[in-house]
Amino acid sequence: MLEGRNLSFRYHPKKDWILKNISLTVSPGQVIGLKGMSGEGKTTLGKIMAGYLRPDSGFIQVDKYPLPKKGVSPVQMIFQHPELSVNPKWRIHKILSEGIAGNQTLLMDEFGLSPSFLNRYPHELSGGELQRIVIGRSLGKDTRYLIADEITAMLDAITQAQIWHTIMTSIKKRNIGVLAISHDENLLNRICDDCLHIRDLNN
Amino acid sequence: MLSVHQLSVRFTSYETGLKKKETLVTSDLELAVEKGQVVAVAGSSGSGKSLLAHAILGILPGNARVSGEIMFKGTPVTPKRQIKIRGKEMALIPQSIGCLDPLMRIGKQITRAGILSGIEKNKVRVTNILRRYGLPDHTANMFPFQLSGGMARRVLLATATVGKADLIIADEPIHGLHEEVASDILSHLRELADQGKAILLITHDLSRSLLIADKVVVFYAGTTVEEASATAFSGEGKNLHHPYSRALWQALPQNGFFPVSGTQPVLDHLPEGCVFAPRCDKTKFICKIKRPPVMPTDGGFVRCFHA
Repeated sequence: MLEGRNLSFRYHPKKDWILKNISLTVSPGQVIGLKGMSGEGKTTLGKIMAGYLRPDSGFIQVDKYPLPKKGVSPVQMIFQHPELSVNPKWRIHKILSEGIAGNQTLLMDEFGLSPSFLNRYPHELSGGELQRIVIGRSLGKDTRYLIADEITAMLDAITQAQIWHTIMTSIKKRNIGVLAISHDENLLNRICDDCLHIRDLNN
Repeated sequence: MLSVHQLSVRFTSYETGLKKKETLVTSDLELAVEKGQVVAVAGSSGSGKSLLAHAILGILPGNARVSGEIMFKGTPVTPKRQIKIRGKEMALIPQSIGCLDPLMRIGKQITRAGILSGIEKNKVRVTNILRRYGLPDHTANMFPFQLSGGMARRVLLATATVGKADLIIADEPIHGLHEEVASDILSHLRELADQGKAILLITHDLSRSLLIADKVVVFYAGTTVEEASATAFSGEGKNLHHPYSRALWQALPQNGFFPVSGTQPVLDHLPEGCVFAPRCDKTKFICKIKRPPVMPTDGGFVRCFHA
């Protein structure tokens, strides 16, 4: 279980609290939606859950242990713009090898991508294709939870449906839990087991 | 007001050495916008939506070559005429809020847009237009970095509408905005159309554009595959004629969330026949060898052999 307990956060001691005393849990194999308006702290909460930001108070636990300080994190975060999440000078196989130790061709199959992409550079793929590469990279053997922050907001409906169908199959297979952040209520209603509003979580 | 017929855009670039290469990025675009109408252009990214806007205004980069016909108010649009009428008779709401001058106060930017559109300096009413879009009066004294994303979008809307432009091209005006701000901007666009302007709304967000559009033109791989009335996008999409339009409609999370396998073809390797043939479940032999012509339908036109 990925558990955030009594999390509070502000960007500066003189500024207002963005998150105040928030608790939430994600179980393996479960998809939890997180919605809210822009500026309400959805991404901030995602970054805290993934260990990119340290909360001012409260703690994160993964299956009863704190997040590791070094090495591969069991909680992986995926962002809105895949082209900013990869090294533009690396070929796809090198990008994937950051997260995937084993057979990359199998992974490409699972994600409906042509194995010939492995030799290309990021700018030679479309946004939807590159986003699937980024998701594939995050599904290494130690990954237990995914934080998906608006990962299909800039894509058309067909590509969005493609990507979420792939994620749903892959996480069921690996028993991974997902925190899906989005402003699109229709999307969250479709993919989530449970949907939370950040305003209701904030105390 | 505006009609586009068989519009194609090519980019020339150099491969190794002095070998020239020509890439066809959009081909045979068809489109028409009338006074009082909102026409939405929908399609995936890379389908040529923004290029269309830039071709109409004549602001494509130097290595672009445009062919086809653009008519505005009944006369052909030539590069010379584009320079004369853009900003005055037709205006763009650009995609990026980075298009605002970062070092100029908002009031001055709006005044400048007004003067460039042909209004006398002392007749530009900055406060009026700020109020019309629900921005407080002191916004005029602010710099772009002091605005939230939603406010900056409304300022872009103000710069495009402070003049007397009859055609407004809005390029992704609601991208990245949350529900309330987005529907606010959309209703302003609808209002402008109801006042007699023509609006071309470019967006990848089909479901939101349907809130205000009269017609929807669907783009795929640099071509217009269908023009349909906004009402055809309902139920299971049975009133849509092109398989791609139907797939796009049925892929929305609220309508079934059905994916289609494969991806949009890359522009240098477009299929010889119909651009959607590699992903279509109705593909027959003819689809693979011949581009389907434009055929009229009850609500517009379609480019498909099976419609």
